[in-house]
Amino acid sequence: MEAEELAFRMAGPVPEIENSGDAELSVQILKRAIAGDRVAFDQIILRYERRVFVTALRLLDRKEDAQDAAQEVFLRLFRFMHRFDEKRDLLPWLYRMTINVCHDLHRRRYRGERLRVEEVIAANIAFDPVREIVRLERRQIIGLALRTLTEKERAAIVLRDIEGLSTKEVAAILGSSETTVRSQISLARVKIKQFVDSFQKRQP
Amino acid sequence: MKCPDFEKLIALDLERDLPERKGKAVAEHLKACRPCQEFLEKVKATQTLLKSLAQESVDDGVLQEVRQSVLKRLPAEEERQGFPVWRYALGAGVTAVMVLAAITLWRPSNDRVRDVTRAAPNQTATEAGRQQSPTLTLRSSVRATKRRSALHRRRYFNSSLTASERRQQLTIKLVTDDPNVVIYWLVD
Repeated sequence: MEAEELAFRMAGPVPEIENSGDAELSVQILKRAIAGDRVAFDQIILRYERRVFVTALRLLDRKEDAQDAAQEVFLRLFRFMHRFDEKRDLLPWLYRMTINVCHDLHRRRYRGERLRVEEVIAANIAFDPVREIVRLERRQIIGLALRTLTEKERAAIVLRDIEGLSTKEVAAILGSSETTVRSQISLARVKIKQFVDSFQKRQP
Repeated sequence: MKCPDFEKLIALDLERDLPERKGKAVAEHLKACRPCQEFLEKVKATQTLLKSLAQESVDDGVLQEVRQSVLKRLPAEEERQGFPVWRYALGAGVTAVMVLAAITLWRPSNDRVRDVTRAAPNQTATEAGRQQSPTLTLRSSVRATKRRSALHRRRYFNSSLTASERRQQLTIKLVTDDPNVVIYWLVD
């Protein structure tokens, strides 16, 4: 059994996220895909690619990396879908796989490097932070803030605040307790606020 | 509890992630603490910024690239999935052929003839082993499969043998290719 699959299976049960109608349709498509129907597999990609890609983009903050991660997620799905319990919801499965793939990719390409707030600000604001803030899109500021978080904090905040999952769902996907996830979310929100503050305070 | 502790709770209370009791404590503290009120306003602003990312559009071309790239790699994935079975089957086949070939082609050469010595009834196995007068020739190496446990125990634990056991006893010395390994087979 491959390491990624093992890690995935060890993380325990995942919650239902899709509504029942969507979930039922997903099950039908998944069954066809497992039976070897390529069109059905294409439908699965179409159905989930946006959420997988956006989650990967928030975690990695680079479009090319996010594309590679999304691609790997769907290839792993193809590889392991015949072992998937059809009664379970596919979306949490994909979220968990996305997080695992992004962690692997980040460690492999950047050795798990995390940016320091001061370095990010110094690199992105040369002389006029107010103008820079206007110039930089909001996404970029938050993207930079996310890069200063630890992997776990980032995963928790992306799933909770950007993807809009509940704390319970996030805990199940990350294989952590709700208390741990709450602590990670709380720290992440405070750090992001502090990052934006620091960004705005650096005026000439 | 001090303000930095409340800040963590305030950050959680924003999205109703706090239990009711703690939420009430936070609300009470906020009524009286100006810095924490400011903190709340700022963290709300960044939270709005963070949530705005959820509405951000993604270029369809980017997603299409991902999809096409995945679909292009599916045949290779299928092959990869099938690979282990075929590899194991091939490995087992090659091993079987090699074993059969070795069994069919291998014949012992004359210099591998083993000598077998019949020991005198009152000789020990070691003494019998020193004798170099072969009385019987074996054409292949022999593996002892049968052990005379009672006889063996008595022999190697210095017990005396009965006269009839000594008379019936046959010691076979098997010389292997390795000069350090000599096998004695005790048969009665």
